[in-house]
Amino acid sequence: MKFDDIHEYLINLTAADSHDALIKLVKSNYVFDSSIIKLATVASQNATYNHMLFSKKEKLKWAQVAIISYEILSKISKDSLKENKFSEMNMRARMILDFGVDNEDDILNADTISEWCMLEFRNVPKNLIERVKEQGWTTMHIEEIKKLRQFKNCLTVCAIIKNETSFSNTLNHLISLKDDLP
Amino acid sequence: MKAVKDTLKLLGGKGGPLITILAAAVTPGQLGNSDNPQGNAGATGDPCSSIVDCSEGGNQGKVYENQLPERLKSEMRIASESGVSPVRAGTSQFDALLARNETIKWAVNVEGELWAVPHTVNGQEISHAVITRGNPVRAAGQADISVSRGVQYGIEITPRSGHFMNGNNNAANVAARRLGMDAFSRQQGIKF
Repeated sequence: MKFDDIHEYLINLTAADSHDALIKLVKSNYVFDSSIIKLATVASQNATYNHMLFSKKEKLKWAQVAIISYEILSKISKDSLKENKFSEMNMRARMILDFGVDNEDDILNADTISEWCMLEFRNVPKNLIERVKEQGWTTMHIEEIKKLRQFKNCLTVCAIIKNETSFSNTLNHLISLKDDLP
Repeated sequence: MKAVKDTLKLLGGKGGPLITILAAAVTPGQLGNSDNPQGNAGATGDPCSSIVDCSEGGNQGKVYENQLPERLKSEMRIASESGVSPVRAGTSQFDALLARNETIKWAVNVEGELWAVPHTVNGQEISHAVITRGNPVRAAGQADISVSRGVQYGIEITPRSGHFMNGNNNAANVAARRLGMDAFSRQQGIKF
């Protein structure tokens, strides 16, 4: 049975049942395939779309389904890790805009986003941002540009919620440099 | 397969009993292929086939349908509320989208035209299906492009799309990415 077929069933369950079913699938050593991206997409939409179909509680649960799906997808296709994280963090940011920061809640905890961003910052060679400030990025090697764009994508997500929470001075400074990055 | 699905439906909405049956019906390792992380379509041996055109320009005969058509209406509404309209390569609107220097979603429609939307607006991810208003595509994915002093630089392009590229094997993804690169090059002058 392809996951694509199971997907059709899971998206028609309640958020809580879909979440429980997905967890049980994981625990049963079910071998997922890349079509779980469809569940991630649907669950993320259920969590963030501005409609009255789902309560806040249900949306938060759909967000958990999306995150589990993204994590499974990242394990299946390691190349997709950054894209999955980007989608996940955008979803978290959207939900924080909708429901506010709640550091007691797994989804609405703004620290998750800032920690992800600072982790990505550690992957950027120390002199790279200085070089951008001094001479721009257009003459840099493509791999350096990719690193900077990846980091910029994180800063873009942080910027979405900067009025909702208090970031560290370091992160605020980095956000202010965002437009200098490729 | 149909029998299993019918059984699942009869079990109703509770995840518990459903999964007990489901887990029994699925042998670990039966599905997917850890050596083929991109897909499930038995992509062994020669990646080029009657499905995947590996000739120059690649994948020209293959068309991908929107796999989530039931969601299109709300996706279009969300895009509209976010102020998003698809833009076609070679236009000033496309240049303006790229000038935001943020990740975009792209698609090549069946006519071979390259269109795009922002990946996200205020944390709200925009659906690929919005790009073609739900119509089929030849390829779709995401791209990072940056603009400096009017010059557009291709940084990264992938065939990621939960709506259109879901279930692709590795060869189909390679072909879709290549088709996207070709479209960006020919229609917008961007090389990756």
